[in-house]
Amino acid sequence: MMKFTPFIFLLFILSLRAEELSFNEQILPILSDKCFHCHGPDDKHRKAKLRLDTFEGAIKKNKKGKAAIVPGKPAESLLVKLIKTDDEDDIMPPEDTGKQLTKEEISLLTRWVKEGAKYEKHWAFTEVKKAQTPSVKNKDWPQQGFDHFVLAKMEKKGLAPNKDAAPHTLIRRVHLDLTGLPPKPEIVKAFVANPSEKHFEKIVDGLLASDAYAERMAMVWMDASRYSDSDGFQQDKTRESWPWKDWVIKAYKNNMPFDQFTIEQLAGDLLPNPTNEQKLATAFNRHHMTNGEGGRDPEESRIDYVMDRVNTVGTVWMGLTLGCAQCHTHKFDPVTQKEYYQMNAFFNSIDEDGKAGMAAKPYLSYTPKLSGKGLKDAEDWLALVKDKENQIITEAMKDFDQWLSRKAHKVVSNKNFSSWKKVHSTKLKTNDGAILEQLSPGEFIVSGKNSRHEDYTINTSPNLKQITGVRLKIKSDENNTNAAFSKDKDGHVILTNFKFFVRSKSTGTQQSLSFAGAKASYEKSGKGWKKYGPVKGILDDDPRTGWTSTGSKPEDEHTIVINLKKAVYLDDDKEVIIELRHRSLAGHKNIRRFSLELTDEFGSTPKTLGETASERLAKLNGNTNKISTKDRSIFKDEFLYALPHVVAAKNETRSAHSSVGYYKNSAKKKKVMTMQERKEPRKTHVLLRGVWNKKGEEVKPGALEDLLAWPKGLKKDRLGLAKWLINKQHPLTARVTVNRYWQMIFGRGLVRTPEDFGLQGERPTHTKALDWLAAEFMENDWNVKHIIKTIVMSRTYKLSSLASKELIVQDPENRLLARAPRYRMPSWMIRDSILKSADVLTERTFGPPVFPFQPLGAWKDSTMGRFTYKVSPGKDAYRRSLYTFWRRSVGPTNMFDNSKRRNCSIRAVRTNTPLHALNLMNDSAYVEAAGLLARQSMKSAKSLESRINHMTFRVISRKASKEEINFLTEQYEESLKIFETNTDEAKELLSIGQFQNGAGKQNPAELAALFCLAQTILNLDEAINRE
Amino acid sequence: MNDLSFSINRRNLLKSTAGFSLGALALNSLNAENKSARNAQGGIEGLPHFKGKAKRVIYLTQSGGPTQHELFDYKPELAKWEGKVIPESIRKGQRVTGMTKGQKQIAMGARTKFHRYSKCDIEIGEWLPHIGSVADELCLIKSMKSDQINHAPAMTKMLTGHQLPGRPSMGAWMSYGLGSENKNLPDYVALVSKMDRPSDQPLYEYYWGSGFLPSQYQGVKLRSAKEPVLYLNDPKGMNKKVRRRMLDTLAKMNQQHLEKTNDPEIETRIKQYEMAFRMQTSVPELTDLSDEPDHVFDLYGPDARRPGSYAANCILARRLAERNVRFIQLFHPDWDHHSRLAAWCPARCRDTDQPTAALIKDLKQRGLLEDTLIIWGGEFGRSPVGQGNYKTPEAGRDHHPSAFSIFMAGAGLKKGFSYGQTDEFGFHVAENPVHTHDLHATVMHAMGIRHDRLSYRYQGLDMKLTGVENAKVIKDLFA
Repeated sequence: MMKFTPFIFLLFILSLRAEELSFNEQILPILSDKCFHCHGPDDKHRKAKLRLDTFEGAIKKNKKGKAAIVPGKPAESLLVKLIKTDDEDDIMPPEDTGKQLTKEEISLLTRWVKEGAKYEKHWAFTEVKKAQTPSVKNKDWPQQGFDHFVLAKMEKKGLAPNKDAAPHTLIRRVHLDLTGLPPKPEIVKAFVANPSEKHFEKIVDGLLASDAYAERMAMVWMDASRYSDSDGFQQDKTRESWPWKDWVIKAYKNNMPFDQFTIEQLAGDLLPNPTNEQKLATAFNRHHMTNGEGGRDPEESRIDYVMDRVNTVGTVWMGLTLGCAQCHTHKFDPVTQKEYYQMNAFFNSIDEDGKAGMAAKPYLSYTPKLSGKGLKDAEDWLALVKDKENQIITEAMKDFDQWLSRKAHKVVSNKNFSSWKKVHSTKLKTNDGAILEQLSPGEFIVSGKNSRHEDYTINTSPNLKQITGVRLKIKSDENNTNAAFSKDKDGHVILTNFKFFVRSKSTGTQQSLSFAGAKASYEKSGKGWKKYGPVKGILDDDPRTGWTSTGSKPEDEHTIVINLKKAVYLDDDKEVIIELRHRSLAGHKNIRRFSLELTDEFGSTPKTLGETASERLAKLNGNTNKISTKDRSIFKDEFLYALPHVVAAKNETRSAHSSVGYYKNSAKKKKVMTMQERKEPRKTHVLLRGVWNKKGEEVKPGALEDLLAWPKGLKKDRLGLAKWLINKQHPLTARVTVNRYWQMIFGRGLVRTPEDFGLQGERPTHTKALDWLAAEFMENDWNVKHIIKTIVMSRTYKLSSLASKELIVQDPENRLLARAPRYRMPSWMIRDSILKSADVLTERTFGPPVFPFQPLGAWKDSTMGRFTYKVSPGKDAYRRSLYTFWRRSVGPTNMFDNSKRRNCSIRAVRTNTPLHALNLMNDSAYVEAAGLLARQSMKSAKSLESRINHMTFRVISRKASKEEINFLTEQYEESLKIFETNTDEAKELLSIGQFQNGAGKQNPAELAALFCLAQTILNLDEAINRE
Repeated sequence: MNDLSFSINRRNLLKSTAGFSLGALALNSLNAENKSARNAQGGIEGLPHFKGKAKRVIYLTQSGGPTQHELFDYKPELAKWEGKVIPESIRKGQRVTGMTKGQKQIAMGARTKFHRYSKCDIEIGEWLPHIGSVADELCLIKSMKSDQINHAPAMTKMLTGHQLPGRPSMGAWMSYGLGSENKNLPDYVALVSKMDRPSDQPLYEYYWGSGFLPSQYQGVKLRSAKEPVLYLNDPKGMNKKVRRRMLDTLAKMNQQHLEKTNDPEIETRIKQYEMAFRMQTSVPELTDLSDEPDHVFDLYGPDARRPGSYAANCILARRLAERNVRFIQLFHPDWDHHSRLAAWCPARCRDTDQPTAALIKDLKQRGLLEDTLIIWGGEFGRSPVGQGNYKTPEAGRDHHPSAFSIFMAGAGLKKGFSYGQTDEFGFHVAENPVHTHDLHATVMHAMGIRHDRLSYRYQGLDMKLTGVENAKVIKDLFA
């Protein structure tokens, strides 16, 4: 991105000064920015009854007979007087607005008044026309109509265009621009050998015909349409709107003309006899966030959704900030508040009620037809991992009999064997004054104060390798009320929370462990406010749920077993802390006698209330031949679940299974939020100050008359609105759309505020070039591929992006387009490119969202445990970013500075932060990709230089320079030395990801050193930039 | 490139000349780290506007709407009306949420007792004894007002000045305006308490987001995980020496490319990779509490040993303050006590009471309280009306934006001071209202920023944290 300098700034102003004054380019921006806030279209907030946005308003005399502007007579014009005055009270704009005029601006305004104060229509609101092609000196240079305008402007400013880009740069550029993926090395090599115009065109045609093009276009459209797989508010529930995404991809693939693309998405449901696909297209209007917050008035939400639709249409089709007119008439652009609500009326009558979740009607019941390939991949993957699991288990089971006899030996060598080991406490503590004592190992008694709330803390350092579960017994005692469990009136207890911590004795850090579940020998059913009963209530942090003895007999003994989610492995440094919390609403229901035991057995023991298989084996005197079939299978589980690699393999199979289920389910009927009109249209009102329930005058549907009068005979409904937008007389639609394409390719639009073509937006850098393209677009019946091809086949497109220092000084922001832009690719494109370079990208089109790699637990905190992110198994995790599951409350972690899709976003934002650097270096997906790239290069050649070139070709489409080879070779040799003494580290690096599997037969140090080179290359600024 | 790219002062650029108003895009590059012509910290030239009392903010955000009736705003009169309908003359048409729309508006007195814990007159509910013990340090505001009655819009308003998502949060504004005092850590850090109970009010990332400001100003969430910042850790098996070696080559090759392309963004990129490398050391140093002595853990309470707890996050907040991080924001969820207030609310008090008080004491002891502004509060308060049957322990309170309490401390504020009054039911503000906009203006004032002079051009408008409504600095709060 370029920097701005004062020098060029002045250069611009000075160069403009000498020419004829342009109202649109020089005066209107000043008036708009400095005056219209109080003296513009908004009559409610207009000061001194003066409006300066129209000639009539500006020359109107006030009570004293003076006018703001007297054309030709600056001395008599109040405006000129007040912008020049020294009087702090009178000066305009007033000081407290912070909008002071510069000397330059004052002199421009004065000159303009002197020259007659001519007003013109704002450029963007005039009809689109192709201007006459200007004559240029360098006649051979232009290749497309708009090139002439670009060149003419350069020539006028005394600049010459850069030379054309090197063939390898151009070919990489056009691949990234049109498909978001780097070219294959063969294509680069072929083009470098024959960089002819014809060859280039052939490549462009090929790219435009590819699925990758459609996906690339769709990705931009997702941000514009604020597409998401979730609601955005509250629990951020998942939606089923993805079939619409497939609709978009298909539309781009088949080159649906933009007018049809517009009509079907805005109003497909209103077409005569609409197809299911046309109805599906209207989901565009429903991708807004939905809020199902309990206390919220659904009508307030509904009104928000309607406005969101209007604002989105305003931004995407017209480049207008319509939302500004929600509370008052637009301060700058010709949109009255009434018109804003007339636009609302088009979208106000769908059969919705403001609800969220899967209750956000209306829905289209739609059966996707395109998920077959995903299912095939998922089934293949399942077969693969199932096979792997079986092998692993077969291998592991070879040791089973031996393990079982060791087990048998263990249970008999121990008198009175129990699967549960008593807790020897090392420290006891209570919170609210009771006295907790250990009667004998594992047996605890409480005496003294019986507070309303009470917590017991028990520390222990068990002599066990691992712990898998806890057994708590609640016992009655004769000292208690009714000789039952507590000192409370009825003698019953309520345990609200059970906590299990592991503490490191050396650092003091405590880790709270999670549970897989709990079972109790007795459970009261929980109803009403006395919800206490179900034992699972002790596993959360909520004092309103918990286990109670209420309803049981006083003499009973109750057993609770709790199994840990994952076994915790102990060593000398580790200490276990168990906490029993009594924090119930009722109060005073504190346990007074209990026992605590731990088990180290995997499998079913931590879920068993009664006798365990091991205990039965002890009774059989360890005779393994007498073990029942059932117990044998329990032992098998115990044996296998203790082996981490078996557990990993089992998990992998389970996840592959669920993936098959996911694809099967994805081919079933889906509920897609779409547009469907109510039978009775709703009334629409102006909302006073934009507040949802402050209704003003009733309005009928209507568009923005100042832009384009509503054609006679056109029905005033959504379909009519869509047709109004794509009317060739409409001044904005084509300009705004072409500008978006330009931005997609050049990084920034010809209008650099793509969301604002109004008075406050920036003026185009090349108005006539933009208009030429907009006219070309419409002349060719809104042919999208044609216009994109026209842009990339231009001379302007093909320039080199290498800038001399002089050029940067002259034009730091590249407003003259004398060079091609160089800019960082969007984060999704970086990801897709890395995967493609490593040859691991799953190029499968269409289908339901997938879950790529993301750091463990990254979404957990933000979703408050309501959503568990599971990485998609197999090839799914390597699909293009377009298919990444999109959750609004917390976005995909690898898509830095992408729009969060909470609302419509059409501006490309590019930042440069250390967090991005960390992402690109350490994301496991990128680490794996580097490993795979290294492997390829190792296979490809013997010499280091060739290997390096193999990698650079795949990533930056060129050979490394001699100097680069030297840099990389040095790095290679030094890393190699380090890895040679640390081969275990090398192997670890080479095992990250699904498709890396260690060094295999290769030398791990060499491969790891190559891996580091791959990481260097993938992190090059050149690798993540489009040049 | 330095001399020629940044010889213009950024403020003038922001003001911009006719026809060349600069959008966010141009700013992105202007904001790139460490260029000469901005203020020394990389903020906007000319900021701070004056010397503020606060150098940093620690915002202890209590999400869900803590009840002021049990914690800060003692109303004996309300207890007398227990069980009776609150007259319309008091309610004045106050909106209620959909949850209590049909119910009678029956008064419910405080479910706890209030005490004067320290020398000043401030009375605090007995569920917060530790905070009570530092009441002499507090600047309590009992007259907060918001205009949003549901969680997400109200929290969004409280943090970003507008009820709809899309605007920068307070910390992002500070970071944008003032820049960073620290070259090894982000300017704005968010810490979220780890809870075992799924909360109904999610903490959206945009609560610490940068909205329309460039994303380098967004808050960086420190996670209580092996990897405190996402992607911070090198992959397993990556040797530090090897990584350093890789970064050296990368820098050399990027430098070469910079000379070829003259693109100043490359210079920034080289620096950002170096900063990333430094963060790999500075962040673990920050989050590793093993160098804290036992008495510190004892001060912050039993939860302090558990990483991710509010207590542990309070210790981290102090460590961040010591390292001059500008805006530190903690989030503690689950204050939405519509029911069973008497059991549920004390649980959240227990999580936060001792650590909050400890943080104040600890900062004071280290001389950091005088230039650190502490804010404790939620997005709104709770109603004097009971929700559910007030006679049973089932009773709770609905949301209530028209009057609620928060407190601040440190940074030149009055101590043991209570500002504003509510009516005798605690229903509406009776005296000295403080709207969320006023709070923002006041916090900015404490930081030396004129709230009406820090703006950012977006969609043709000069956007401010305090929005378009008149916001006032509550100067009375300052000593």
